[in-house]
Amino acid sequence: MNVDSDPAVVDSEALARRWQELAIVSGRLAHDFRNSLTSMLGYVELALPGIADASPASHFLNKTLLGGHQAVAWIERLEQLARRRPVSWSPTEPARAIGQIVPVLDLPDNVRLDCNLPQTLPRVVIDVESLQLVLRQLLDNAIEACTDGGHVRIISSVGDLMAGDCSRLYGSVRPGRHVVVIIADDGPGITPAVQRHLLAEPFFTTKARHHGLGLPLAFLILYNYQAGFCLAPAGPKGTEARVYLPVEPGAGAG
Amino acid sequence: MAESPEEKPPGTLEIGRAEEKREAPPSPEELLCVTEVQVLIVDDDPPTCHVIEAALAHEDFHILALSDLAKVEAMLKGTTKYHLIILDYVLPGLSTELVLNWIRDYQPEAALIVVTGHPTVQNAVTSLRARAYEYLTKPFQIAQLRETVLRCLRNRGLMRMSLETLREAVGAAIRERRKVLELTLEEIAKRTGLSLGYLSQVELGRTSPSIETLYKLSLTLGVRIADFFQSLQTE
Repeated sequence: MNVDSDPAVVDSEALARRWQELAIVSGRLAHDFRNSLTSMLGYVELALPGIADASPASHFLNKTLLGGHQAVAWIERLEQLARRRPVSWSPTEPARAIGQIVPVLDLPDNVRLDCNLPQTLPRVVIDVESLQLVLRQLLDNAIEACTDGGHVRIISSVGDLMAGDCSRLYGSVRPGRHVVVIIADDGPGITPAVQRHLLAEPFFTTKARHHGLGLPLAFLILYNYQAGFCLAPAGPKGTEARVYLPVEPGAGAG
Repeated sequence: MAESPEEKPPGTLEIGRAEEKREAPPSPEELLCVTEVQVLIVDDDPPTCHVIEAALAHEDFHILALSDLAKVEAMLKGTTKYHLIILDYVLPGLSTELVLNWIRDYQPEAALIVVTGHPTVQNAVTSLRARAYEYLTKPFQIAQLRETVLRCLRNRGLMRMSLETLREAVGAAIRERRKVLELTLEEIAKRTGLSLGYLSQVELGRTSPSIETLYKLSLTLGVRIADFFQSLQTE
């Protein structure tokens, strides 16, 4: 299997240590933010019934509540990163796991999604929730990349990874048989300069109102399962996220 | 039990309606305390303590907000027996298990509501095992907190409805049943022999129906008398 990605070699161990520490900090911050928001939003709620509905003050206080609820959504992302997930080696059927998340994706009208998976993919060694969480992050990124509409494809195949391939993936992939799930979009693509920042710089993002937590979350999960991913250009434009999942030992040729 | 205008079938007389209720859950003013309710709030974050205190302000509640964690043990071991303890799950420097054990041993009669800024399945399970009545994630809505506290105290028999709320609840149950059957007040008046004005006062909770009135209404509406009181029952 040819892993053609940039950068050429990834120091996943150093990245994992760093993000594991950041995950702990994120959890701590999330807790403190929840406390601060409790009194802030609580007093706003207490003040509102005493103020006429049509008054500017009521309008501003309602906006404060709205801002607070957005902050809660951000806190939930931090907690997702911080959550300690026990590693479960129960095997998963990748096609089935993907089939379950496709219908619940937040797909705008102008984005088309094609899911083309072979019937005979072997089972992979990662629990179904973890796999779905990873793919969900990458699919959300692909859909968001198609800002002016576009096409997202999910394809998959099976192949063998060599030691040289593994060192170019984010994660802890070991040589051997893997299922690769490719999520490709035809958005503007990621420049090599941006790609170098993506995991190296905490909370780096190029998108407004995003927090740069999707890829680190995917990375930390895959790292725990001896799996990995890379980002590569998808043809003339767009990005391909390729996820490499170790095939269950003893599974057929697939 | 807010009523939307389109629910009113044609032919129903326009009768002055009770003021619109702002909130579905009962506010503390609608409930009467059977006794003075002792409430202890334990949270290391003083603003959180204060906002809970403000949200629960009620003339029959005696609320103590404690954010000095060095005093938690003494307060729980003290002579005051609390009816309700609102406890922050994560208290820096104190083991949650230890605090839950103090509550079990020294405040066995207290109802417990756990609030947390660190929501995990494990914390929820630990709280429920420690017989917590409810587990709320911060930031919780004030309305949700009030509703939880009142439901909790009502289940413990510490609060009862004001007579006004009681009449309104029974009136609302009668009106709801009448609308299900698509009957107007006039038709009910004709069938029961009760006056239309009186019936509308009953539905609005402005007058207290007699047992005979409730019996006639239950026959006309095809329900048991007890069904009119269904919404008053605690779970």
